[in-house]
Amino acid sequence: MASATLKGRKDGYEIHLDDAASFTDNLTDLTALFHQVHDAQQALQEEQANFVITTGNRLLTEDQETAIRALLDAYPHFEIVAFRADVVTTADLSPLLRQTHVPVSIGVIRSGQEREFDGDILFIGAIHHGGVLKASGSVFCIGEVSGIVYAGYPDDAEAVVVGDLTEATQVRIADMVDIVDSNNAHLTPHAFAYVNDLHAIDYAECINLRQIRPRLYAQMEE
Amino acid sequence: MPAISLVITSGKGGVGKTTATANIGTALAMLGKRVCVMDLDLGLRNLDIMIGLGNRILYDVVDVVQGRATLHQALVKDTRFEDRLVLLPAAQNADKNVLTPAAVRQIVAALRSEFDYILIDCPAGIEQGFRNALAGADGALVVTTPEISAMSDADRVIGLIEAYKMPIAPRLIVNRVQAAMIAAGTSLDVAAIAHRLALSLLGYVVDDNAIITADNRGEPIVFDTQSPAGTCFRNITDRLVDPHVPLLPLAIKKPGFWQKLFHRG
Repeated sequence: MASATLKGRKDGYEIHLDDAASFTDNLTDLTALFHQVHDAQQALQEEQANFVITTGNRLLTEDQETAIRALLDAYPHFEIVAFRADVVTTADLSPLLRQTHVPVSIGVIRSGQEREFDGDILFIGAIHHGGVLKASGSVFCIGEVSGIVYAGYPDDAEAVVVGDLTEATQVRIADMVDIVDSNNAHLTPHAFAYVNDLHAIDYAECINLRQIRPRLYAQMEE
Repeated sequence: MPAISLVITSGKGGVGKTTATANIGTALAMLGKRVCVMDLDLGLRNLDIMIGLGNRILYDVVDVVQGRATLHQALVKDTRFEDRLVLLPAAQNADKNVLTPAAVRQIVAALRSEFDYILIDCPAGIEQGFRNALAGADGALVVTTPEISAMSDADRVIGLIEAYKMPIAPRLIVNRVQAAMIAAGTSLDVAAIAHRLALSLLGYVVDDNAIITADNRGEPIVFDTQSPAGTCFRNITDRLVDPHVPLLPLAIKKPGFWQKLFHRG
């Protein structure tokens, strides 16, 4: 059985390369397959053809991808749209994991201390007056907040700060600063801070987080 | 058993570091412990005066570091306690930069075998002097007063201390506590301060004018069995030696009817 199989799809062709066969066999079978497709295309008087190459559990190296693309030199109207594998390298995976995973940090941020996090952060503990908690994503706080909370550092206005911010000194999101005013009617222990349509920091009840930041909600639900 | 070394620090000046060092040191000696109190406030030494040994200094810590005197020549013994209490004085006119963390560590190591406690009086601030004082310590006693400014500085200092990862966790002493103000709700109570700083409370000292006269006489207030502040310092010392000793209850007088009537606000 050939190690390259062709499937028709509505937007072109998909070629599956058997990951159990050697790459040299893949290449030989692929050459034959392209030739067949070329003949068939000519019979149907069609020219342009798009291919997606799937490789299963094999991850092609750049050299291997170049070798496959080189086969198409003879067929200028053929195009490889994408290479797809069922596997990824751990190097590619870890940033993806970081994006979707909310790390937890526990402790006390004291006066003069600054803690910085990549992505979202769930902070459990206390942020004392003069302490700074900074994250490139959203900040979720459980405990006393008397210091400065900075979400979406430096420029993510989609980030939110959830937690009791009534005693905080400042709330910062992206390029905005709100000097917390305890007279603000929207600022309750059950509120969260976000950047509103007028590009200003505003507060809303936590139950409205889903409406205000649907994307964040979807991400957390996953 | 080798000595436990503790640094007494606060960040802010004037909250009672030196008074606490002098009194806890004296109280430890009264309990029969061998104590060395070290003054690291170079240029602004006071500890010697408060303990009442000011007139007996021959050499100081800088003389030891620079090799002009041996460590034992510089130690000033307090004859009131059969030499159980010993002071290592700070230099009054030396350049602040001659002392290094390594030198302090070395001095503390040399003293360990001869004492039960080494108390290090830290200068105000968080610069070189602070780092020197922390270098030799196994643990820290953080002194604050019930004012927000002092508490904020204490918080900053606790953060720095925690970064040193000392074997003994830092503990809190709240100084100048005014029971009347706590009763009237105009001052934070001691437990609230400890909670706010997220630190274990070692003890508190009530505001007592007798401390000023005691300091002036060079007789630490712990000698005075009648004084409330002296009682507080003895309680702190007892709790330092034995963790099972309970905290002294603070006598808060509820303002009476007549007081409310005539002392409004």
